[in-house]
Amino acid sequence: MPELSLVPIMAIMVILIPMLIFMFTFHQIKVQRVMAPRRGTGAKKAQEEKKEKELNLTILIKRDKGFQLSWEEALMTDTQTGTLLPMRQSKDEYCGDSDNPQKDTRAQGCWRRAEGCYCYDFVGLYNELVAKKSKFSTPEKPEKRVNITADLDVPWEVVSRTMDAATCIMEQPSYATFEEYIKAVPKKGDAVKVPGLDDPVELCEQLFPNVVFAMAE
Amino acid sequence: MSDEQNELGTHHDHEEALRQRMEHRAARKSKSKKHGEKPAVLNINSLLDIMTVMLVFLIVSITSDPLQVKESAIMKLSRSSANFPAVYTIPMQVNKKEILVDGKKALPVSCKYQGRPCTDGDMERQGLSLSIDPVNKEHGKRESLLIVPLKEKLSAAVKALKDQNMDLPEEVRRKYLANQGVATIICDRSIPYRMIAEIVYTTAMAELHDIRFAIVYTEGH
Repeated sequence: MPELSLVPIMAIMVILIPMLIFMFTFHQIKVQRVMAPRRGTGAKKAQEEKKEKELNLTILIKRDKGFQLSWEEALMTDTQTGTLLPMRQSKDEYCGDSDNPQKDTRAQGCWRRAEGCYCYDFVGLYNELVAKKSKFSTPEKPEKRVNITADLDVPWEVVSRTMDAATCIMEQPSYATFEEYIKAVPKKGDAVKVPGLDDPVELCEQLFPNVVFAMAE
Repeated sequence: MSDEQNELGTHHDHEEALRQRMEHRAARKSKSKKHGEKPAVLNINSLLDIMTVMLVFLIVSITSDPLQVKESAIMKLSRSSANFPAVYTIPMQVNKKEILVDGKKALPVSCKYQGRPCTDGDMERQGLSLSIDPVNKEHGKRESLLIVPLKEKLSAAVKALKDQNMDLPEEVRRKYLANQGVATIICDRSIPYRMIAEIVYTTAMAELHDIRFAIVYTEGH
């Protein structure tokens, strides 16, 4: 009996495999969750005043300036008017290779200026948020929500990184430098069941898990 | 003298062995011809096994990825340490040229660079001005947050998904029911906050309240 020739099957495989490799994504795609935007109005504010005072922590991302942190006035001390975290001058390498702009090595939230490389102060923001959580959140009244708003032309990459700093607790409660923070890995939390998936998923330990996008009106 | 003789003798032995080997090979060749044997062929079975395993692995990996994002000059995802998994939902892609709902174009994105419309060569530059044309917004107002064509497309996609889920068997339907109100936004990292807020607001108006942004997972920052 003559043997079956596998050469045509092999030829199909040789075409199919490079095609599938081209379609294959080598990155791991995950998601960041947010809640729908809230538009601030006077009537809503009056209604909220009747309720028990919440921290109502808000991060305002200012284009080319930094972060402005504010929270419920009643919980501020007399001298406080919020915290401003300006952009920090960082190592040149974080702004990418200026000789080769096509090469994508720029860290998110870092841009080159005439004076050098400047990055949004994600380290300072993380340290401040951890401090606020430990000061105002109690097991009886846990603080879970953070409002994020930004100047209209702030790019998504900065908002996304801000959400990272606001949602997960890292291995340490505070970091001194940008270099240390960049290498930090979020603390692993309990495995939770995600609707639509069969296996439980191990998420990070939560800092302010409920992120709300706010728009100033 | 004796060394030379020895060397000569060894050389002779070597030639003799070579001659015998060639004769033996020729005899074997003529014998196989007489018996009608076929010439030896390369066996590709093992190679085919490897390729089959590779093919199955690639097909399973590609089909199990709910988003299938391919990065390009107009579409670069943000990097993040968030590790919440993506699920099968209504995907919406927002790149520097257009907004797509479930792979179909919903509306174009207005792109300007130094006051002039962007060309393909500008797409990787910094300082692009991206926005939604006011004609696509509610009452044609620039300040409106509602993007009308996007809401229409999303509402149609939500309805189609609900109908599709109705046809599924009860057990499978229950699994997908929880994700019926979820929208996944695959967003380019240079999209400005104003556009993000408009898209999120419009998505919420189309009965999709659980909004998720696709990112590329990175360990650390």
